[in-house]
Amino acid sequence: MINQPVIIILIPLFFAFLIPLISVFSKKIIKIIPVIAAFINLAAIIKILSSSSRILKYFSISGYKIPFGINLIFNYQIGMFLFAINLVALIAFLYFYKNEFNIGNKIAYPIAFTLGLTAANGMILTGDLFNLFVFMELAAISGYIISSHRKGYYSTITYIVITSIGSLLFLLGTASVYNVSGSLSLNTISTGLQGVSGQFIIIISVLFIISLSGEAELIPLNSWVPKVYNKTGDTGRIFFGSIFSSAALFAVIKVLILLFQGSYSYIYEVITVIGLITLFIGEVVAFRQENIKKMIAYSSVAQAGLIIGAVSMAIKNGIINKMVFNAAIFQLFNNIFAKGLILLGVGALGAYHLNNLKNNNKKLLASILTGIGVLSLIGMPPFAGFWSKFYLIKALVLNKFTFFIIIFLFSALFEVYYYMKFLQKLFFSEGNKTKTKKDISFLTYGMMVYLSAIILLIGIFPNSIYKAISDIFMGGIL
Amino acid sequence: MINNIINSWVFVYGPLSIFLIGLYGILTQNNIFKLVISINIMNLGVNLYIIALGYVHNGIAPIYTEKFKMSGENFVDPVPQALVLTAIVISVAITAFFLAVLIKNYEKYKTLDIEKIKGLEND
Repeated sequence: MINQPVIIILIPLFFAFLIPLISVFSKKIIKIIPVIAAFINLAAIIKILSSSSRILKYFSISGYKIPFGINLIFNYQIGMFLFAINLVALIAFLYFYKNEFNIGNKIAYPIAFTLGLTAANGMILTGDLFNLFVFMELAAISGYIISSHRKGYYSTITYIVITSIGSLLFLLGTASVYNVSGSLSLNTISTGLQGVSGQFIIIISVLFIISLSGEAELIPLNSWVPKVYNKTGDTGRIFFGSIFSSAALFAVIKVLILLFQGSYSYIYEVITVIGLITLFIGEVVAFRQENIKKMIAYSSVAQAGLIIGAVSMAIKNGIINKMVFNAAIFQLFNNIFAKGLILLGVGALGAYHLNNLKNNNKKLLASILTGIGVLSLIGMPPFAGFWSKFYLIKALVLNKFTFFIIIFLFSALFEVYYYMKFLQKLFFSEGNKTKTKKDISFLTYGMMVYLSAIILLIGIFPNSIYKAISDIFMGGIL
Repeated sequence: MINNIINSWVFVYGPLSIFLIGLYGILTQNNIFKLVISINIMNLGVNLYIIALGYVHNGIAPIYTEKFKMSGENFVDPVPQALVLTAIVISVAITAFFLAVLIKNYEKYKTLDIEKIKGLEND
């Protein structure tokens, strides 16, 4: 039991339900509980990682044989992803503990954050379609609570309406797939789907693509993203930007690869187009934003589009183009840290609007650390993001995906421009005097240094990390 | 013939049309409370659809007893029913939370009209 990956889901779930019990005795201990949960979870992941193989394995829960009952997928690479997400979650919880615990209800928000971590881990681990639906709903419900953290009630309503449509479409798709293939487990559905008419495949793929686009911040269901990013708290933004979106993107990739097994190439062509449109529109709209929170929201949308576009580009006729696919996964991995660092820095500096930014010598270190995150995201050497984008472009050039490269580089121009504008204002703008936030605590500095050290480390040794997370679904696809 | 109509029209297209009625409500209504109801209607459609997929003519409960020892092939599929139970619980939670946020919205903006709230919301 202790070596089973299910423990990674159970630990934060247990602590989340512990919070209301403990609140009866003491209200002060509550704020440390999410931190403890994430910390124990990290230890559990390291322990499981030490004894895991690189081949995709299915783990059954509650003793049913694999096609029946719920199962989880796990291998070393997925463990690395879980480690990254739980590490950023630990940092988000520490920030919450230090800065945002006193805002809003003191029991609801720690529970929501801990449950959100459970849901993110579950979305990554689960190998069962209906179970994925349940974890998506759990992520959505904790996301609803998180998005109302700073009284952004209207944005919460937008979020609820849009993701409800998405989740119901997912349920429709799941039920239809079950009816045809007689299974809900991702590894047996694909054999059940053989010989099914092409129209049916088109209908269920449309259902799945639309429904998963809600949480993964892709077009068409992503109009909630800027509203929620604008209104939620700093911890909430870290959660949406680097935990939920990465987990949901991972779930999309999992469904694309394990459910459809790379056949039906028209699905992947459509998804490539969706990804490229999302990338381009995201970057162009972010380019026009003055509000930094919304700018990062649209940038996050664009990153999701890039990753999904590259992943679906890599799959053709049941064969994965390993170079493109691994580079896209590497980009997703780096994105977790870079976005976490930027959002942490923006929250700590209180830098919410481009026109109100001013250089602040007292907070120079925080500005520099935020700058590291920004430079990594836009792909500057020697940071982590450079290598993933470099590998991606190299793989695309070698495979002659010219159209993709043109749109990718063209939108990267926009991205570099608006992030450079942000950095320029952050370091050199005199700005008009606005109320400054209180000093950044030592703990926040420590977390930012830690995240930037990781980004630098990946930037210095890109190959070892790249190799550690490559071929993530090895054994899961033909 | 009649079986066909019952199977395809009532059990599949009926729930799907309920789903589309809910979707129409979400796309056209401005009142937040009507959005809650529309989401619930959509939920109802999906749940009925899943139950219809598990329907077996003259089927019996999937439990082995003294009486039905040998009639395994006539069992109703239990999985869709389990799915629907889970989906109902989730939809109850979402409705409850949605209504709570609705009340908070009303306290903040003194209206439930989405267009008016958009006007009041700055930036």
